Amino acid sequence: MSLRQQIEMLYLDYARHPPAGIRLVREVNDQAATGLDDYNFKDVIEGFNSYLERNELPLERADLLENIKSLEKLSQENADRDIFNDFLNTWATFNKALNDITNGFELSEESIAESGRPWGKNALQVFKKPQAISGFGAAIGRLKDYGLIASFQEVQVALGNLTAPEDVQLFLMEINKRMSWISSNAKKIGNEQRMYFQYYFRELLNRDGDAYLNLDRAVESAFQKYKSQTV
Amino acid sequence: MPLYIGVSGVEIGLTPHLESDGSGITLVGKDEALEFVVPFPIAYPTKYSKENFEIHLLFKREVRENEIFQIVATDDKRLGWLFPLQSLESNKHKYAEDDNFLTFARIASELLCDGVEGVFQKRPQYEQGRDYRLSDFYSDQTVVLLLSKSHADVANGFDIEGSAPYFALHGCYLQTVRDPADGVVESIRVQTDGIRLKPRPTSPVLREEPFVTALISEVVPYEREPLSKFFFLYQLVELLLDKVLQENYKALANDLLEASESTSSTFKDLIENFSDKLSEKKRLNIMLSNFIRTRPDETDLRRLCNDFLRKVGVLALYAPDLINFSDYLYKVRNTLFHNFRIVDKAAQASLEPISSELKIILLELLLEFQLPEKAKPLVAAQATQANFIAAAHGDVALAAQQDTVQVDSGS
Repeated sequence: MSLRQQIEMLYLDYARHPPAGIRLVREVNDQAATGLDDYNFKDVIEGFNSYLERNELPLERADLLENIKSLEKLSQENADRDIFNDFLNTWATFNKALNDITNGFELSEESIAESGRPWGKNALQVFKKPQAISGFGAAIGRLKDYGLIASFQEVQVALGNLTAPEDVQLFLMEINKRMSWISSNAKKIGNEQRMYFQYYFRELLNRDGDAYLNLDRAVESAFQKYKSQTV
Repeated sequence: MPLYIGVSGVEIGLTPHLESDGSGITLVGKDEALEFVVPFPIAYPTKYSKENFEIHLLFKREVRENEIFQIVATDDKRLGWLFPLQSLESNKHKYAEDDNFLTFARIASELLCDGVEGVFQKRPQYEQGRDYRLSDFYSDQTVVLLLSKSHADVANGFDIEGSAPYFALHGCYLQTVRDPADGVVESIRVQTDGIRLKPRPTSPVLREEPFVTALISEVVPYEREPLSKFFFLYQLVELLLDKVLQENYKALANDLLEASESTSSTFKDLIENFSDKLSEKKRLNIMLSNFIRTRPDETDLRRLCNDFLRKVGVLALYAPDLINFSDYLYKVRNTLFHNFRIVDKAAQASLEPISSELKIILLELLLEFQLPEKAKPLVAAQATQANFIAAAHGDVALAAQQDTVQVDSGS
C-alpha cells in the first residue's frame, strides 16, 4: 500500500463528509478533479497536514504517527472535522474568488510557445496543485501563530476583497516565470515550489504587509523572500 | 560494499530486491530481521539489466535538481546520463517523462542500492515503518554518472579518471570516501546547451600522471585556504612545465645529434639557445605557444592578478597591466612564495578569486595540452599569442608591436 493510500485511509472519514458543494476525488476512484469545486483528496490532506504542522513539506511515512497524534488531539477537542472543513472551505473560497477575478483567462498558445510549457495556463491550474495548497496550509498556520489571523472565517471574509491583477495575462506570465526560475535553479524542485507558495500566501494574507490581498504584488514579494532563503 | 543500516548500535548489511512493478526497491537486513522500501518517485520502466551499465559517483556542492545531462561521445553517440541524486527522488524535473532517462534512473537506483565502492556512504538508524530514500545512504550532493558499458569505454575515448578535469570544469568531482559536505561551494561558468555534455579527455601526455587525478579529486574540491589552493594548483603548472622541459631536452639531444658534423660554435649556439629557454617564465611562454591547442580565456585571471599585484605594491598603481600570462602569473607566484610577508589581509582576500580562475584555466590546459609535433611553428605561434593578447586589449598598435618584438627576438 502506497503512502498516499495510507494517508487517505487515515482521513477517510473526512472524505465522506466534505463541505457542501465540494467534491473530494480519491486516488482509488481513479477520477480527475477537473471542476472548480473538485479537489484531489490527497492534495487537500497534504494542505491540511501542512496547516497542522505549520510546515509545507510533503508527508513522510514517519510523519504519519505524529499526524495521528495531532488528529487525536483535535478529536479530543471534538473539533477535527470542523477544522478540516474550515480549512477546505477557505481554500475553496480562495479558488472561487481567483476564478471570478481572472474570469477563467488562459494564456494564449503564442505566449506559451514563447516561454515554454507553463506551470499553469490559467489561475486555477497555477494554484490547484499540492505545492500551492501545502503552502497555503503552512502559511495560514504560521500567520495564526503570529496572531495575524484569528480564524478561517476571518480569512474567508478577507478573500472577498482580493485585489484583482491589473493585467491577468501579465499576472499569469509573472507567476509562471517565477515557477520556471525555481524549476531551473532549485536543489529540490518540489520542496522549493512549496516554499514559494508558502511565502506567496503569507504575503497575500498578512494584513501588515504591502502585498495584503494583492495577487500581483505577492508574486514578486514572495519570490524575494524565497530567494533570500535559498540563494 | 553493501548499504548498511544501524539497529541498536549494530550495523546491518542490506540486500536489495527490485519490486517487479518498478515501484521501488526493498532492502532486506541480514537474516531478514528487517526490511523496508526505497520507493521510486515514478513507476520506472523495467527494461534493460543493470549488468550492462557502470556507475560512477561524483559530487557537486549545491547541485540543482534539473542539472541533468546526456553524456555523448565525440560522434554524438549517447553514452549515458549525468544527474543529481535528488532527481532519483522526484518527479518534478525536466526528464520525469523521458523513457530513456527513467530507465537509467531505475538502473542507477538498483546499482546504488547494491552499494558503490570507494564513495561516501551514510549509515542511517533503522526506524520501523518509515520509508528510506537514496539520500539516506548517500550524500545529497551526489551526482550520478551512469554509462552504458557497451558504449562508454576506452575504445570510444572515454575513461572516468581521464575525464576528471572535464567534469571538474562543470563543478563535479569524483567522489571519495570523504563527505562531500566538506567540499567547497563554487560558482562555475558552465557553457553547455543545457542538454548534453561531451566529455573531453585529459591530454594523453598527462594521462599517466596519478598526481593529476589525486589533486583534482582529493585536494582541489576541499581546499578552502586560498594560499594553499594556489600552491597546490601551481603544482599543475610545475607539472606542465616539466613536460615542456623534457621535450626541450629531447629536442636539444636531437639537434646535437643532427649537428654532430658541425663546428663547435654550432654546438655552443644550440646549448645557449637551450639555456635561454630553461627559466620557468620562458617555459610558461613556450608551453602556451607550442603545447596548447586552444588557449583558455585568461581575461578574468589577468585582471585579478594585476589587481592583486597593485594591492601588494609589486605593480605601481598607474603602471599598465601585465598582459602576458607568464608575466602576471609568475609575479603573483613569486610574491606568494618568496614575499608573502607583504601580502596584507585585503590582498589575501583577493587570492580566492585568483585561485578559482587559475583552477579553471589549468583544468582547460590539462585537456588542451599536447606535444609540439602537432603544434604551430614556434615563431608564428608566438606572434599569434601576442596578437591574441593585444586583441584582448583592443590595441591594434600593440599587436603590431608585439609581432615585431617576438619575431625579431627569434626566440
